[in-house]
Amino acid sequence: MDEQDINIKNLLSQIDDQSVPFGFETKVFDKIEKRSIQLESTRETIKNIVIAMVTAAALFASLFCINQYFFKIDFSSNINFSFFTKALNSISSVFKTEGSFTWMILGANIAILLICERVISEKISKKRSDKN
Amino acid sequence: MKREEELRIIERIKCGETSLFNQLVLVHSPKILSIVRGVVSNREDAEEVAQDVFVKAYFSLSGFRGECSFSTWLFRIAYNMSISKTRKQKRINIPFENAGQIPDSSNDERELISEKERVTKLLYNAIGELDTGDKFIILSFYNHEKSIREISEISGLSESNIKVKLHRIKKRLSILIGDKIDLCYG
Repeated sequence: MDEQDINIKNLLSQIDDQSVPFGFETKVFDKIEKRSIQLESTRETIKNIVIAMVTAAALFASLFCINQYFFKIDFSSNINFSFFTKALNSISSVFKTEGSFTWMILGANIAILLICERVISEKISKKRSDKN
Repeated sequence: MKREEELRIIERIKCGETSLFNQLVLVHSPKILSIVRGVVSNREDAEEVAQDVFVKAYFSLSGFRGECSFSTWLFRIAYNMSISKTRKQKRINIPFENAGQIPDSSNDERELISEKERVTKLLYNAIGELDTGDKFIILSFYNHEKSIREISEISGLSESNIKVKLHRIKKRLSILIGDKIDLCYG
């Protein structure tokens, strides 16, 4: 360190504020606790999703095996594709009517409002929990 | 706190004695708060970042292998968090009220003190003009006496890069306030 370094160091030491605000450690530990709970619930959710997926896979596999060895039903020949096309056509015809456009706009607006409400309430609750 | 003692405490925390983390917070919070206050302009934001540094450290403690000191490791977390925090702020201005208090003195010294105060303010503004990474580097070097090697570990930049950066910052500060520093300390 040369003389200039020492001078800068002296000046910087004046703006060095090492004071610790009251309750700093408590706030740190509160945050740690909150994060632990959050991590725990995330782990729990992931565990539940995995269990549900494995159970569903096992159920489908068992149904497939039962069908393969006992019932021997060929599902591919039973699917009536023309029925689906007809159903789709009838659904799309509903949207082609005159009033349907107005209803679609109304529906879209309600959906946007609902999304906004969810986003705002999430932000408010997050702010509240951060303050606490 | 000695390094061996600190490592022993960390090992015990890793084994489940989580309440011992409080000791580490008590020892390191003044320095972490000081460095973050110097980098993050808003005092409340700085305290928030400092808290988050310890929270992050707590949950990443299993990744601490003791290759560097715990303080350097904490500084690295603080460096990354301060940079991500200030990235969100458009313009960074360090408020002068953050500066340490200059003690009361006799009338003869008043003139010199006001000059010192002015120079300190000037220095503060000059540092405020630097980008977050550079601020962190200069405060770690001068205020926290971190070596070039440690700063390199903190920032992830090479030692030569740190030397160049420090030289440039020093040069810039000397241009801005060089002659005034000599007035006060020369």
